[in-house]
Amino acid sequence: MRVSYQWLKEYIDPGMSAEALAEKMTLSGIEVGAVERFGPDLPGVVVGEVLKLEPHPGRDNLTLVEAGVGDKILSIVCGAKNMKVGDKVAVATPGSELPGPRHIQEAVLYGVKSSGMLCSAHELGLELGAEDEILIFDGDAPIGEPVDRLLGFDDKILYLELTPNRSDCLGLINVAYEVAALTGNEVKIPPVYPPEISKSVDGAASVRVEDKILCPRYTARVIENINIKYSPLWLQMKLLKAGIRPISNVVDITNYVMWEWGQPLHAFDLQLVKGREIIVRRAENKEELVTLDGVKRKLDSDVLVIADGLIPIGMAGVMGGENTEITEKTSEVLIEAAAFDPTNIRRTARRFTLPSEASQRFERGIDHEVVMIAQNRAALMIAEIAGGDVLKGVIDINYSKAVPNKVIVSPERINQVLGMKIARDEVLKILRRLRFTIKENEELIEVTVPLRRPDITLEEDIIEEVARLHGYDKIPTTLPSGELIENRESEEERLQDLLKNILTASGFYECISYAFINPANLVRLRLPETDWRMQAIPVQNPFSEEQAIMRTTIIPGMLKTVQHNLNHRELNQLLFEIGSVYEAKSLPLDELPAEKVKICMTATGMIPEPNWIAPSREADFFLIKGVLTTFFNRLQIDDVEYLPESEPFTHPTRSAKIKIGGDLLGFIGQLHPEVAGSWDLGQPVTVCEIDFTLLAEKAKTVPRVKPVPRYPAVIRDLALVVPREISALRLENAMKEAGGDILTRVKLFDLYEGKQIPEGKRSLAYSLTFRREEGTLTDSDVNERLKQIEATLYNLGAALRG
Amino acid sequence: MLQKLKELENDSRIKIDGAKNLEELKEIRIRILGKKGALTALLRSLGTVSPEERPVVGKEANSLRVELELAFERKEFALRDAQKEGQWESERIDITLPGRPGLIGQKHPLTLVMDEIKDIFIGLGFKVAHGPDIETDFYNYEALNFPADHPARDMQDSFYITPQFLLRTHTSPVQIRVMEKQAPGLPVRIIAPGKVFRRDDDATHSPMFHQVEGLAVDTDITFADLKGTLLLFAREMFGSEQKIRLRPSFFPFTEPSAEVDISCIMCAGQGCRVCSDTGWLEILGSGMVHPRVLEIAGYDPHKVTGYAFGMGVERIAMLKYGIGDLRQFFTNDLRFLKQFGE
Ligand SMILES: [Zn+2]
Repeated sequence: MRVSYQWLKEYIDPGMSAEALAEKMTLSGIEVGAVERFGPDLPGVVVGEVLKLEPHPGRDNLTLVEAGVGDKILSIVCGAKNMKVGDKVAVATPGSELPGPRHIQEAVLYGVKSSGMLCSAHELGLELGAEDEILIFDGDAPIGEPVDRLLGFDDKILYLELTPNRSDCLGLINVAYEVAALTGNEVKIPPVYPPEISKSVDGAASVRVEDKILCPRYTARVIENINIKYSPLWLQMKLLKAGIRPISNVVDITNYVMWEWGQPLHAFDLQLVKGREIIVRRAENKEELVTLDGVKRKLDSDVLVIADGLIPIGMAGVMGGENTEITEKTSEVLIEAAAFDPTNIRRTARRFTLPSEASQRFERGIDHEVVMIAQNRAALMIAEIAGGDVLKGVIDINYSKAVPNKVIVSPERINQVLGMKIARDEVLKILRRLRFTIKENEELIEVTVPLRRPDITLEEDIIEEVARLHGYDKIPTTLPSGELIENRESEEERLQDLLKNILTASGFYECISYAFINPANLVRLRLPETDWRMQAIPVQNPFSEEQAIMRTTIIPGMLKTVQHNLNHRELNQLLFEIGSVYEAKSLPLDELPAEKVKICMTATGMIPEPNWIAPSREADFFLIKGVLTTFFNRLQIDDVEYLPESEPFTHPTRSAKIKIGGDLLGFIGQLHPEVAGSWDLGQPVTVCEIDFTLLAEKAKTVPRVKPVPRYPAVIRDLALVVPREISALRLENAMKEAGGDILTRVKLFDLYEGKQIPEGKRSLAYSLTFRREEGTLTDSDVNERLKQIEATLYNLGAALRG
Repeated sequence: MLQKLKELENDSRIKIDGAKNLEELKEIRIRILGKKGALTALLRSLGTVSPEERPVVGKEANSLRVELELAFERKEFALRDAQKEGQWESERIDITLPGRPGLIGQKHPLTLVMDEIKDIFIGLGFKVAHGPDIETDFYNYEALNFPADHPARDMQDSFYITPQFLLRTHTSPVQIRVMEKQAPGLPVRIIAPGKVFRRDDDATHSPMFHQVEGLAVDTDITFADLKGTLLLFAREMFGSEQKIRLRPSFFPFTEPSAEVDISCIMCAGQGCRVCSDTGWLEILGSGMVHPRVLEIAGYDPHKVTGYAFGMGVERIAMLKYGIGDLRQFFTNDLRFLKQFGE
């Protein structure tokens, strides 16, 4: 809502500057987003009188103008033709400045010296009139007066950013009531009673309301003998300050009154209303209406229309119809001031994407009493400005049940809720300034709230009014007291934090990607239709395909991140995200989906980043497996299995499914080369996704500590050459079994295949730790056990080296 | 006697300093500290000192021995180092070479901020709660006093799944879920961090962002408690000098309601581009829980009161770290993420 400070002052004197008022309003609940000067400074542009007009000697389309600007007479070459001798015009004298910026100097135009310029409204920065016509002021404009001052360019516009509960401030009168509440000053109501002629409205038009729920009140007046023309400049300027484009006097007045009272009005050319009859009804299916914007609208029974005896002539509360539009031929108008159902107007305006100043007010609810005030105010202004004869009486179809809200308030409760002491007298003073009606009833106060403030229905609403006008800055600062709350952070919350710490300590950076993804990305992962991840939940109104479904896996989002970073030459990446995926129990959704927290990791490039001192290795399956091993060790999970199975999007022989105690935790795998290719990833990427909830279920988050061994260990190394098909796990298990309870640790410290090793074989070197819990091991104890181990390995097909 | 000790000390120090090599130093040592050395000889003559003086002289002599031992040791080190002069040079390292790379990652800046917010409120006795990202219309709107077809719904444009289900537009539904579960039990004090979704996408809006919701319900929670809690939060988060300002506002689920500003952290309240010359930055919305909301969630609004607040995590992170573009949070550019610690 744009509020012109000078216009507002017609209804109340705030007693302070526009800026101070803006600050005060903002701190009391009506946010003023900005205060701006209405127009630019126009130094040197003054009101001049046209004294003489002569044709230009060389050019037919130019005129020589002599303009008196008070202290001197200027001769100016002008391209416009719309002025006559005696007109008051805007003269840009030599040395003056116009918006643009444009500097005006003396110039010679086709052989004639021109000392300045006559200005059009556009040249002054106003969206007004034709571009090739100069602006002509009212006859009483003082000669020599600076034009910026005359046009109110020094006025300040306050931009109110209204919350939905304060739509009352969509009218200046109610803004004035708000200022009155802040300052205690008086509101001046403008005159609202029009002069009427003796002819009655009754024979001139009739109104029938068929749906009294959707139209609780409809008033109409008829005004004859109207002269449609441009509005006077002062009226046009006010509309421009409100941000409304002036059109013609009658239409401008309906907009003016809307700005003043918050009540939208509409004017019909009555001679075009068939049967001189207004019917407020639901549209019939397949009825059509060309609205004022020239668009043909297909209507149905959800839309409330204003119709004449035959066809719709307006979409109620949203936009009028072209068929009854006010034109320069109009001489008789019917003015509509009505109340419509907010919900219906809101739906219609949204459905046809026609948010208008009118619909915006109707959908927030208007004051049913103001309907009549605005009707009369408009009639008065039309009579004064457009020279019309107002027929006697108002047609008023009134089904409104609006009554002022009554709220009982206890000053004690106000203090209880606010946590401070505000004296009863102060409470009463604030309520009086709001122009609320007060009845004191012993301790309690009965407040009757005027219809302009329908947002106030409860005691809490009154508490807010009192608090905001008393000043939020006066509220003290205390802390709640009360019982202790246990377990303030859940186990899962802490576990997630622990995992993030392990991941970051392992070199991984945390990512957060959108929870919605492009469905095509699931296809790019080569997931079969039968995979549950293909049953993603679609978003009904996404911005684009990129955000069309809720993710069922974090992988696509992570691959996008990997791709982005590779494109920016970040070749070595360790990334993770912990977040939800969404699993519908059925589609379309009929109950809330399962939101499963997943941990996703990706690794690619050389880790650590190639450097001069520490060796780098390519990030691979084993890097991520190492992180998982840290998880499992830290959480004391030991029944972990890695199964050689791949996902549709991972490498067939470089992937594993991970299980804990038989339950599927997730997978690790190098990205399938085809999938990597379709994401434009030019280097191997290993991905992993595991289920956080399952991990949490299996975790023991507090480590249980065993005593530190008391007896020394014996360490022996063992190097083996083994057929490739024998897995490391199998070797390890064989050694552990043969080694028995004194073999406490088996550690692989070297692996080699290639030169010097026979085809199809590989060499593995282990370090074995032997220890007894009670007593020192002798060499012969260890040797004996080592022999058994070697024998077992030999049976597996392993040969001992060196 | 003391005089003699003093002379011995001076003489010894000159000799130690003058030693040219380790052999010479060894000889000097024997001459002074050896069994037949000068100090030993001096000590033998202690018997000639009067009994009153004797403890003083004895003490002095002993401390002289300790000091001379140290002097010999120091000189010995110096002589040894001098011998190795050439060796040191051959072992020289270039200390300007980079250090061995540590392998450490970093949490996302939004996580850092959310962790900080959580820690502050856990310290104030709040419990962490969570709710689903996909919500019902009831929890997201109806129960929070946003009637269907009400203009208040325009404040938050939603992504719908079906007419009944949508992506939550704020973390406020967690208020209802927690209260429903706990009612009529008191007190309720929760903090609920999480993702939220709105149908906005430009330089200052992201279709997905994060909020932290706060709720306290008890028999005597006041608006002053809300203000105190938020002042404490602002100071923990942005520094002990922080001021806050409450402005009346409107949220359907609170009454009275307030927008909360902190003094601009860029200009310390002097006015700058970031705060549009106001000196204040809006960081959160808050208010006293609306009686209708309490009622729907199972509490008697005549017997209990509560406050609630909600803040945008991205907004706070942007202010705290001086981040200009909201979308950076979700691009996960390593050149961005690594600035929070590499
Ligand atoms: Zn600032």
